[in-house]
Amino acid sequence: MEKIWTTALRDSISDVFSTMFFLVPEEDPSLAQALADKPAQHWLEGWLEVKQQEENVMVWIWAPPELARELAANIFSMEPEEVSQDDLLDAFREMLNMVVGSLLTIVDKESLWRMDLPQARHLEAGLLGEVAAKAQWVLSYDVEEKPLLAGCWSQQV
Amino acid sequence: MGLKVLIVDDSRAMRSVIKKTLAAAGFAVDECYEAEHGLAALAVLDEHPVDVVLSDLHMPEMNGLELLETLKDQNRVPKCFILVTTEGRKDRLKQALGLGARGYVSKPFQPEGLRKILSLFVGEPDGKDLDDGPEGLDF
Repeated sequence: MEKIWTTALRDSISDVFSTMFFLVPEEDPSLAQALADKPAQHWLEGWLEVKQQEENVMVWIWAPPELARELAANIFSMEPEEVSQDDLLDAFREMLNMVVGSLLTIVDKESLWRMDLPQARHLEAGLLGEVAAKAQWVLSYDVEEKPLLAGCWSQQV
Repeated sequence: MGLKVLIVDDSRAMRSVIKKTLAAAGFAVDECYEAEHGLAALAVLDEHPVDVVLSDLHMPEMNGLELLETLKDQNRVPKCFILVTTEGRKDRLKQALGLGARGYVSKPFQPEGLRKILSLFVGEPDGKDLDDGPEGLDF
């Protein structure tokens, strides 16, 4: 399962970022390790749960505020400094919503999975390594010199 | 004469993108209303008849399917009700079509995708109607 979801998440992030945000994420597997002992404070954390009868999967995306602001500025066509906190969180949730929707289009050929609504918040404490440890596997990206982490966790129910 | 459009999506970012896409595609829009969920959309439709509804499926309070169900029960589904959604489940999309939706655009979308499907029902932005049928709506 992990390999299919990893590939699908990779494809989805690439598709959503290029189509909707005009940004090209470049995967850099060394980034997750390099960021592990950096403070998570102020980073954005987005999460969305998808469920089917016997399995739940949580998808997370983490980004520093500068990248979240750039995403919001691109989607609202405004300057980064004009983006309000509400719009920043809204754009981040919508980015995650599209990534997971696109992911399910790839992995869910039998239409078994249901998506919850996306959530997002600013992290207040901890290290990025601790935060990302919630996921069973993590992808890391360089998005025009700003980091982005994405991860998944699955559980049989 | 321009279109009267209602955009229903819980994300202000997505409503903004759809609005800009309509303008960029060249559709003349006289009125563009926004609603953040189905209940708010019903309130808008009570006051303002529209030509086109572009609606998400996943929303709090009242989702897109519940909105369509309510409109169908009241016999007032707008002639051009298009879903703009991340939903990929065929059963849900078929259900929406059964309730009166005319088609869907998957997020993320290229402006051309939205222009194409909308043109099928309201004509090309330059006034020329398309000859081709709604093949893109076939599941």
